[in-house]
Amino acid sequence: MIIKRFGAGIVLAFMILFLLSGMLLLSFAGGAFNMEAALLGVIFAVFLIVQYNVLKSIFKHLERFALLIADFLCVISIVILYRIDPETAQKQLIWILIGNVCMIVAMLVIKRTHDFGKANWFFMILAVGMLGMTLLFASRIGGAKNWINIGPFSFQPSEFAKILFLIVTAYFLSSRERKRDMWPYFLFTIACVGLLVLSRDLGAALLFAGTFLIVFYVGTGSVGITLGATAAFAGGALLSYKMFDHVRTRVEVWQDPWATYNDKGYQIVQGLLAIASGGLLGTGLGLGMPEVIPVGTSDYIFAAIAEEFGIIVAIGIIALYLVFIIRGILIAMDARTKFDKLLVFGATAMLSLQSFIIIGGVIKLIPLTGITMPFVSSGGSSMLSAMMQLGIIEGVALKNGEYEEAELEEMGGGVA
Amino acid sequence: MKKKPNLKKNMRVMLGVFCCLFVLLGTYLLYSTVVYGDQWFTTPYNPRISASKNIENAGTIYDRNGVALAYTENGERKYAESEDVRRAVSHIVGDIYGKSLGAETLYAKYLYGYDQNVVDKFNSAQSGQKGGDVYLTIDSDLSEYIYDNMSVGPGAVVLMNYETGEILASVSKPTFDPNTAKDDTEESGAKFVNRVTQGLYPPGSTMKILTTAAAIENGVTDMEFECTGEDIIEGQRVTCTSVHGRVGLETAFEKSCNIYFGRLAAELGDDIMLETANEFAYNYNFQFPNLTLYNSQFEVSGNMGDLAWAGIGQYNDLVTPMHNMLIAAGVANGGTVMQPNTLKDVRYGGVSSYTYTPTAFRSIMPQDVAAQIAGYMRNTVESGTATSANIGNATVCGKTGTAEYVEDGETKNHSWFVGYVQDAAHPLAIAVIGEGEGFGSAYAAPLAGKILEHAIDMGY
Amino acid sequence: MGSAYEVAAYALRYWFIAAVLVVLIAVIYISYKEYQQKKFVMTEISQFGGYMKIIGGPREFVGDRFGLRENNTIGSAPDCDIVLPDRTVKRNHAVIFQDGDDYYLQPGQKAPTKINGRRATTAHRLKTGDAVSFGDVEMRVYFKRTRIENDH
Repeated sequence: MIIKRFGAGIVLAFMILFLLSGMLLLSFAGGAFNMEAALLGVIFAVFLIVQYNVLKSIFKHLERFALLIADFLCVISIVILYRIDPETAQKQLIWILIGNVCMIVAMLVIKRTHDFGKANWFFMILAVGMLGMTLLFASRIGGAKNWINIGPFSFQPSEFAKILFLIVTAYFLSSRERKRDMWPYFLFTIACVGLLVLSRDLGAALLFAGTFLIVFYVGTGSVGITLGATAAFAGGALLSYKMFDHVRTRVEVWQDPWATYNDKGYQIVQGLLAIASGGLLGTGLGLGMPEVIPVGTSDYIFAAIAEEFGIIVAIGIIALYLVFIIRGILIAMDARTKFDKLLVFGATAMLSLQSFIIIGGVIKLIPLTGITMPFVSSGGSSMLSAMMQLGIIEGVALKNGEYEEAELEEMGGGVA
Repeated sequence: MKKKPNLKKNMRVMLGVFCCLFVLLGTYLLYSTVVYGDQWFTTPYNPRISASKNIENAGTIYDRNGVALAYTENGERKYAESEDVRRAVSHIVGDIYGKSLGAETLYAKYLYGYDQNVVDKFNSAQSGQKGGDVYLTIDSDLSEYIYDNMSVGPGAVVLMNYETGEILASVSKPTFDPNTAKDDTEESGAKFVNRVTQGLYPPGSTMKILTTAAAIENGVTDMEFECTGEDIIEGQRVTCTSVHGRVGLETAFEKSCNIYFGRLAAELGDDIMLETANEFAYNYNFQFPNLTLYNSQFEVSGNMGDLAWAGIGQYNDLVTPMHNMLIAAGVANGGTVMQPNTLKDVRYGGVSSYTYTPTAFRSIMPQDVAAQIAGYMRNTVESGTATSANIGNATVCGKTGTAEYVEDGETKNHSWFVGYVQDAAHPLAIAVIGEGEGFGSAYAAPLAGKILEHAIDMGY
Repeated sequence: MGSAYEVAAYALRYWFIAAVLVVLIAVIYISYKEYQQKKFVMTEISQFGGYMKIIGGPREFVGDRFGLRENNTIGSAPDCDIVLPDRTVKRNHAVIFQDGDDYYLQPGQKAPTKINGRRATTAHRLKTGDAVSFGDVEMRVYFKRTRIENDH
């Protein structure tokens, strides 16, 4: 008996149509026809069609839906970014292309490696080094020290440290039986989170800590220690609330941004106003004012999308993230080795935690932290990191597929 | 032997957790936008409202009779010709720079055509004007009359139809001129504040309506007292403006005897007074759909002296002129207060899209209690402290108030009057306050009478 | 920005919303269908004790596989468990059945059947790797050594 793959062409088709219609509409935004916008749309559309079909034919067991969802998020990103600032959109497209390369590299690496073994020690040092370097050398942007400028480029080392963290986490939790043997890993985690807190990059700190807790629980199943660690982190958070002014400000502004609508609460208020202006259906592409939203191209891009495309699309995006997460976790459950399982699960958990934290912050469900929305926010480091995590997920999916095919063959079935 | 962790099961648990988290995300987004969306959009801090590209499309604000109070011409926002009219309606109409909270801000979504449904969109597209026209409930002529007759000093007047809740006029001084609002650098606090809905004052003797209601509802109506002009209640000195002699509830109300009501409040106690105040919507977070009204305040401390003063509208009592009027309106309307409203109609391309229907807000007292207090308020105007409110073309009922306050070390008095017309053909309720104008009977009551008389002449 | 653009952008809102919803629903639906199919195949396969692969005969058949259950009728008749629509295959050609731990091949009357090249006329025990032929169609049989595990 043979397992057939269903055609996902309809998803690709609507995605391409969305992209082309959006860019075509935007090309008329300035009155006369703007060739650049249409061209950008066509180039990206062609790239997506090629990417999907080529990857699908080379890699038989590709996880198509995770890729399609990520692609669609990139499409929405390009359209809204072009609307706000055409230059940012162009840069973003370049990063998407580079990101795809990174994704394929990650896929191939993961497909062929077992668990990186001794390299993990090097990764730990590298990651701590990167975060330490940021603390020492970074330029302060918006209160957090997380950018490093090299010539014309700026990048966020914490985004790459994320990937290393995932690998190290999966390694230690899969290769060590007793928790006490994992102490190098615990030390590593505390070092990372600590460095991030000191750099004032609270969003990344929260992300690392959260991912640690989640993957630790899944990997060891010990509810007790997980709760204990959570309490420890919560205690740390409380301490930082008492000690650091900026943490306190974040919490106050979360509770009542309208009181300080002019300075501290400005960003949150503008975000809420943008979301409210859109209503359910949105103001229409090009008819709202997303350009006044502070950091509207990266951290706060969700508000811009909600303003022009409406709440229904915004909720749709939340749903798409959820579907992405579900597919990621299914791949994790299907993985054949413990390392693979934890690696994929970690990548999925990190992406989902990241999107939850930033969307939650923008809609004022939780206090705002400065992190980006995966695949949608502008920013090279963010896109590359997200693409690499996608690559990890796809890599393990490929492994799963091969095992599955072999098992089926043995049993009399096959995969089309 | 330690149990081997079942990864798959753990992952399933986390999957469930993530599902819950994201569903929470989506639901919270939907909920907060649907419930608070309008409120957020209409805050003055929204740059989308004052962006010039929207002014061209903005609709016109009319008063209830079709007089244009704000319109766009040549990309600029223009207002009524006469400065008196402009100033009289300034707080209701508002400005486009977010300095005041008027129709330009509150009804921005109608004026600029945001979030319309398909029918509205069609009608606007047909007429060529994207924004909708807003018809207010106020009468600009009446507002001008009130403006001309108010004293120069700060104060507020608000007039409402107590059967439908329509605000017929709302004037707050000092006023501003929307034509000069943009460059108005004078501390925006004083003149841009709408004292009718945002000004909080001690109610003074107008509070006695509430104290009376509390007394009647709890059966404490037989108290009699000899007023000698001064009394001590739990260590606090309470005085009357004159010696009233032997008074019962009815006469005390008519003459506005502080000592009687102070003792009455102390007799009723903290709990009953607070309960009645909450029923009257003190300490309540008003959420009317078409206007913003600040919360009134009533506190108790446990000390009967404080309660006595609270019972006569001092201590920490604070009320807005609009809320005070709503209380009088409640008495007039059998105990039921109608929701105050300034938005009458919204039209896109001339076709009506939204028309306000009168809605009841709440019942603040039983009908029989209202009837009894109505009688007392009639007496007050006929032979009590508010005889200056008597008019020739209708019967007026009301209560004066003289609210004490301290400014720069000096003790002054706000002049209050709340009342209504006792005639089904002219269901008007009014509140007047003149800051620092002295006794209620000196300024507020005669002004109220004059305004009511004129309104009735106009046909209201 | 002309009013033509405004009308277009205003109208396209509905399209954008629809596109996002279609993508979302399509992804969910197709995933579900794939999952259903896989589940079906897996339950089917778990019932097989082994399978047969066509290694010789008409070119269009070569490579096809068939799972083996407890009882399998083989022939060119469409109601057989394993259908081989070839002239040289009788309508009800043979039966492969399970008895205890072993599988046996029982050729039908006047049905040319060979096992490993030798003509078979009575029930014969099969082992993994045996080549059987029905008429012109030649197949190799494989039997599972272990039970399938579904969980880790």
